[in-house]
Amino acid sequence: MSWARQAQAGFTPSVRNVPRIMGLVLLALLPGALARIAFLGADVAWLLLLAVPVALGLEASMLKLRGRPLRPFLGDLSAPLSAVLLTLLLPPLTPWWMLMLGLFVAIVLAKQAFGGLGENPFNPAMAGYATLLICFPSNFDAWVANNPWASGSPAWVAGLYALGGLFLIGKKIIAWQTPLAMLAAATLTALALQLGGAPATSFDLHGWSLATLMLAAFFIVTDPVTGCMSPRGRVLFGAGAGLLTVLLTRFGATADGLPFAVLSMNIAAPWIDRHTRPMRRQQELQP
Amino acid sequence: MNDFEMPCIRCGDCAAACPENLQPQQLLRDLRAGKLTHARDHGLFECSDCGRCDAVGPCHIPLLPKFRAAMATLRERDAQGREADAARERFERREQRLGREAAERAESDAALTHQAASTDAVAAAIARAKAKRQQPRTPT
Repeated sequence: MSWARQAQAGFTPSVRNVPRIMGLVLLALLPGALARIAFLGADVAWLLLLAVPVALGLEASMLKLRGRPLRPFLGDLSAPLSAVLLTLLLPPLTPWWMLMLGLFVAIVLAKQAFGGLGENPFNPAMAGYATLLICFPSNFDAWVANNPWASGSPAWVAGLYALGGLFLIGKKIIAWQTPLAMLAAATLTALALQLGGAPATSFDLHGWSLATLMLAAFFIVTDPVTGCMSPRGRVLFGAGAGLLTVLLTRFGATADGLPFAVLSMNIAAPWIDRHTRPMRRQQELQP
Repeated sequence: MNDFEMPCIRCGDCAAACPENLQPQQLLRDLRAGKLTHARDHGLFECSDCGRCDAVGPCHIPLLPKFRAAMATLRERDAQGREADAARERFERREQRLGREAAERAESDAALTHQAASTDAVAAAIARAKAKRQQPRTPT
């Protein structure tokens, strides 16, 4: 269409770009990931080294099948980010084929089958994680039972994740509303459960659960594609995810309620956004 | 520019930058779905052409050009709609006029036929003829 081409004449693209955003998120994950490797051993590193190329390969083959150009979409770094997030949530002794199945669900089914970056209604990493939690519960239950961190010792993996998250907030890559709301809601719900006399759970604000919570609050629920966009919507999205994560971890059948909480909120996100849309200026002028 | 559509990651930077508090990413969604009227409902015509959404957006989707094109399309469509409305109105008035004229003609024809066919008229004619005949002929 010639008019469209002419109309783009005055278009000056922003200096910001998607690869830079995804790259900064990966960079912010690095300290936490390194600390996790330092505490849990080289297995975590091997899983990460396997996950990233596999994710890129799955993404590339799907792009090929869908007839989309490889260079811009592989280079946007969104597939490696999903792969890293999924891997950081899995127990260190997860078999390689299980990781690959999770990546297949995440990249091929949850992301590319829906139209790729920006079109996926569900957080890809959470879709992969949820599938593995349901299909291979023993892999996760064993990890929770023999958790080397359960004694509440090195909470500073969580601290490093949080630090990375604060860096992203400072860089305006993620909004502060979502993580704050999630942390507040999760803390309040956990406190309420403890005050209500519920027995200690895998989610007790100690050990690996705290690291998972920080990873979720700063890196997972902050996914712009599957989350809410309006500031008020982000508060509701984060709060809902925090509340559901604690409740589903405590009362759910799986070792970790996080993916089910996030996927539930993904379903609710468009509806929340519709009802929290800020007033337009013209609407404010003429009520 | 790329030939393919770049994806929108819904980061919301465009909405935060918009001085009219519009939701450019929502407008883009409407336009990509081909729902121009939805974009109008979401305030497309309140766009003040500033282009800040393009200046901040990380996805490099040319938003303002798309909005301008959509506004132009909608205006054109509106103008076509108005022309069609005017044409329809003209047509309907003409039809009404033609109908009215036909009805009037039918009415006057009916009146004349009635006059010609009524017994009163015949009787009157016979009476007139009789009266004429009974008059003494004037010698010529």
